[in-house]
Amino acid sequence: MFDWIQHLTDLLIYDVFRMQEGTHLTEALHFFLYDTVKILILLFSIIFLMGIINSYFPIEKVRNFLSRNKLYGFEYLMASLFGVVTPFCSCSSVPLFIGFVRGGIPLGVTFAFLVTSPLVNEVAIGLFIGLFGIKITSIYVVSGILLGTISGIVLQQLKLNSLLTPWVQEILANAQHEEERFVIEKTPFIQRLPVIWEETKTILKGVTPYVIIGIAIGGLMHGYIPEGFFEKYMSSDNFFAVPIATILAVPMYSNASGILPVVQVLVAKGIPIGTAIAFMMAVVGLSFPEAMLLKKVMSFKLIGIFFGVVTICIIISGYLFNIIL
Amino acid sequence: MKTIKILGTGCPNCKKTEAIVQSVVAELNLNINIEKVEDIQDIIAYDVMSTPAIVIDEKVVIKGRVPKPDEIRALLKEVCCNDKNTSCCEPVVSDEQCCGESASAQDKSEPCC
Repeated sequence: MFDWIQHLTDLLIYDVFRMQEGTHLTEALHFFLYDTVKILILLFSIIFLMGIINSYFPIEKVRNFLSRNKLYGFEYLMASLFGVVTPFCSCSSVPLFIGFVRGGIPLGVTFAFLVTSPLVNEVAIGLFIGLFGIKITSIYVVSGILLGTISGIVLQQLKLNSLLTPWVQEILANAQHEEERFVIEKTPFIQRLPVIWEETKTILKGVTPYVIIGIAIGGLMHGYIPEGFFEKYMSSDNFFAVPIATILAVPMYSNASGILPVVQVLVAKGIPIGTAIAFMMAVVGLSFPEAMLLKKVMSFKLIGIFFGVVTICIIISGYLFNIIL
Repeated sequence: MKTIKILGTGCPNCKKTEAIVQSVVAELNLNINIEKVEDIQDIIAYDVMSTPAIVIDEKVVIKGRVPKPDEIRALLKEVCCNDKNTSCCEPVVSDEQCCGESASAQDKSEPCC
């Protein structure tokens, strides 16, 4: 599928720039050009596709669905699945949280949505396909959905309602299940397209600099770090590698799109994939600024429990991947 | 006087939205209140789940994205020009300035502002 980019890069490097084959610099530049073009094309496609899906699954529809239907335990999985197709900007997390609480959706189900939505987002998926291929991407997506589901169930069991801020508890007490069916706007696809297109451009513009810097750093490392360099330090027998990688990743939030290309090179140079996935999940899924925003609706204790449960789930899945893959 | 509200907790997208609204209002020379709603409890009173959102006449017209200046222009013209009882074009400006070519091209006997 991406052969043509390979040919194009070859042509540019060897014929136009007349660079010598086999040197570190040539390899690094080749890697950089090839990856940048491939990943930007993938990102564009996935963001656009997700934009179309999201246009038909607005957040109000998700809330109505979860609020109205009795799902017999499947509501956690459903919330988690909706999280995939309904990306939200972290500054919307508070209104979203309140909207869910008000609709009578259990706290655990809301958490399932809040965990999966940032974890399995369009930018991460696009980058994953470009960097690691379809197989690893599917594993990442499926485990992200399960992780949200399980975290939601666990958090529900902990009965945390009393740790919400008082005004949210009041809303919780007056919560009502939605009665009316959500009427989907009958906007024709053609009319939705300009909005989706604009959104795609905005998102792509926002992440492109990080992606390019990430790939540039990755390109340099790719050319200069010897194969298997990290194996001595971070092999899968090293019991502490997964938790350390996860905890290191929690404070890194805004640069996820720049960090993933670097991690790909680390994997190529010998870091086990499970450790790397755990690291990336923590980078993408847990953001410190989001935690600060949630302070308006939750006590610090609840935010701590929320992040703690998700972190533990990420660490466990990291170990699982190292065993299975 | 009409009021246009921007709902948002202060994230970069909300600030962008506010700047766009301000520039359009200035450009059209409208006499309309611009209000920034940052308090979360006030925001959720509009039952909005994604920010930034824009409220005109207490009605949510855009939510969850940064609008284009053209959208705001169209919305404001609709509010100011279709409703003859409102006074968002004071101080009185020419039809063209307020309602654009569409209004001046249409019925001259019924000035919009």
